[in-house]
Amino acid sequence: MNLNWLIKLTEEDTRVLIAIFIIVLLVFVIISYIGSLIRKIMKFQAKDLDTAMHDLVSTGVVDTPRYFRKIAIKKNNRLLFKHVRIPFLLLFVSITFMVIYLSWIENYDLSFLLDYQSKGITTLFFIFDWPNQPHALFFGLNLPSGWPPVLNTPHFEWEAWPSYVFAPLFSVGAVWFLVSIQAYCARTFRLWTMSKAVFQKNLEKVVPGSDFKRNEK
Amino acid sequence: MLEFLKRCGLGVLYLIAAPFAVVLLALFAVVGLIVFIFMLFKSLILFFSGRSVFDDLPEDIEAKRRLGTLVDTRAKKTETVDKTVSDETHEETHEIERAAPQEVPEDDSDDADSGDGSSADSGGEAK
Repeated sequence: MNLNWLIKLTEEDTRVLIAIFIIVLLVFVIISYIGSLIRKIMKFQAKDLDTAMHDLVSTGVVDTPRYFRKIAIKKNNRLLFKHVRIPFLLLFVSITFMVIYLSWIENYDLSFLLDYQSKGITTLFFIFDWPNQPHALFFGLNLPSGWPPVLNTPHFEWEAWPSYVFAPLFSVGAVWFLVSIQAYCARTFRLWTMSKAVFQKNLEKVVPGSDFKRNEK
Repeated sequence: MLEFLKRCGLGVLYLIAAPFAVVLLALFAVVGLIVFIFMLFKSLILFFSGRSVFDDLPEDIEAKRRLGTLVDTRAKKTETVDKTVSDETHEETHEIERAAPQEVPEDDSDDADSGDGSSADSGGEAK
């Protein structure tokens, strides 16, 4: 069935479709590289569990998958506690500080944190007016043709000091906490896979009776 | 080209899996927070009883003991091997010393007396 009569693409439509296709492909490639990077990081993070469990397995203290999981979960929890202490402290200090500050000013609205004119952490950043970015037609495509107008240039504001204290502490603590949780997740997967793999025997490589030949002599 | 297509396919897979991964991470964050609070209380209790939450588990102690005995037995084995090797070499050198005057009779240029003595000794031993 010929569908050409149904779909009539103009030259401009073809260009737009090709451009969109290339952009989508590039986005997929970038996502795949980001995903691969995260997987590599998680593999690296999971090695802590190998270090913790190696001697127990090699000496034969842990000799069943169930026992392996029991001990590995204990060690995993200990590692989590060790890694999360500092980010938890940062989060605790920042939240406590903000609660005290908000109760002091008697206003519990947190929207001032993003106020780039006087009170927010955003006073320290460039703020662009993205909706009013200039556009131009390029081979029939409406593309951005320049930087948007600058709404704010970095500057210090005395009124924004609570934001300057809270935002860095909270964001560092939160990211650190999430990285630690990612490591916890990676170690959990590792312990489940290794609890089966370590005690698995391979019949393909075994020579029948090979373990008793020495005794026969 | 194939590698590029594989990359694109991986990208699509990761894009589909991303929401599930985020949900999983959020679940682990909640579980992790609960575990952390539990461990925090446990560590406080252990701290006031003079212990630490990072102390070795009984299994760790057993593993260390086994590793220690393994190292000891290896050391003993190497010691015994060294001893037997040194004894054997010692005996061999003795045998060579005993046999030396008989094998090298022309060595009397410097120590003629000693050579005679040794030969007498060796003859005596031979008897």
